[in-house]
Amino acid sequence: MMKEEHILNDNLGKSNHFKVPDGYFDQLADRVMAKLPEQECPAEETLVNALGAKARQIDISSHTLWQRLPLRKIAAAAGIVMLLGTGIWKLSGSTDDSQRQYASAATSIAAQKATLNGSEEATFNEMADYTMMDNETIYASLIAEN
Amino acid sequence: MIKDKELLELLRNPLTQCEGFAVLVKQYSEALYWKIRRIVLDHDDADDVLQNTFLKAWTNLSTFQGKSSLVTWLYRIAINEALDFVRRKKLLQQLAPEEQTSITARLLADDYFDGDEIQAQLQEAVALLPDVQRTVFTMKYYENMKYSEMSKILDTSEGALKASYHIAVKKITDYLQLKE
Repeated sequence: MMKEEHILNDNLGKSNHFKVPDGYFDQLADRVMAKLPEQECPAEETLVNALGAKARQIDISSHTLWQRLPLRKIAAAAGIVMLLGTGIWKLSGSTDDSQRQYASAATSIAAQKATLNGSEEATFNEMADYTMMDNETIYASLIAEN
Repeated sequence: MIKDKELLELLRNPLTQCEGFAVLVKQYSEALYWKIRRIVLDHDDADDVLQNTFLKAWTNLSTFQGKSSLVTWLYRIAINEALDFVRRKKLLQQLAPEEQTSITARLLADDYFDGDEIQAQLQEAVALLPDVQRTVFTMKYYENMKYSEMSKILDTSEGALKASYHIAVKKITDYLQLKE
């Protein structure tokens, strides 16, 4: 260490005299994520998922493509599509044009919205919401199909 | 701490990019904050610069080529943002010189600074240094960062950084008139 640095260190030390408001670092990540463009990064889901990912210490490199596929979600989504398709087919026999159009429009809107959201989880949730089906009904339908 | 390899996989996949970025923020925000704070001095200013740093990092994610580590890349953005901020503030202050108070006086009045007068004078001495010397001094003196790490962040040779540090220390001790 050079002589002047010794003098500086001896007289002033290296303590950090800058302080932050209480809880500043605890809230910091939330505030940063909230400033990102909303359509690119929805704030709430991101933090919940991110903290979950960190806790699980995801080792993505060890997962095969097969392991990464969300098979249950794909199966459930396929079941819902089949139910909707059945509903539309039944309604297609109806003389009420507005009912038929509503069913197909609702499915279309749900699919488009989920596509814009860009996630398979959104697809699943959107479709479930539009059919107003709860989990028990979905599971019962899947069992009945089998 | 999630390593770069896994973080980059999250960041490069559009489906997990947001989650990956949130992990990045959580992992490095505090370290970045202190690098920025030592340059801009004021907490609110440091907070603003930190937000801008991450916004810039998010916007330029696709340009990250992996030649350096993620943290080095973030540090580089943070330091550039902090120095840009200081330069803009200096320009604005030059337009209204009668409203200026010394850095020492501002720090002593700052609720988020608990040093005494000599500590505040030290910060003023550092703030008067040219950009590179100021940055090198804060990273070396307070964080004991290796010259090799600094060289990657500042894209300057280790020899030049050592010289900058020695000059900075000399100027500060002269300013504070700390003589044996």
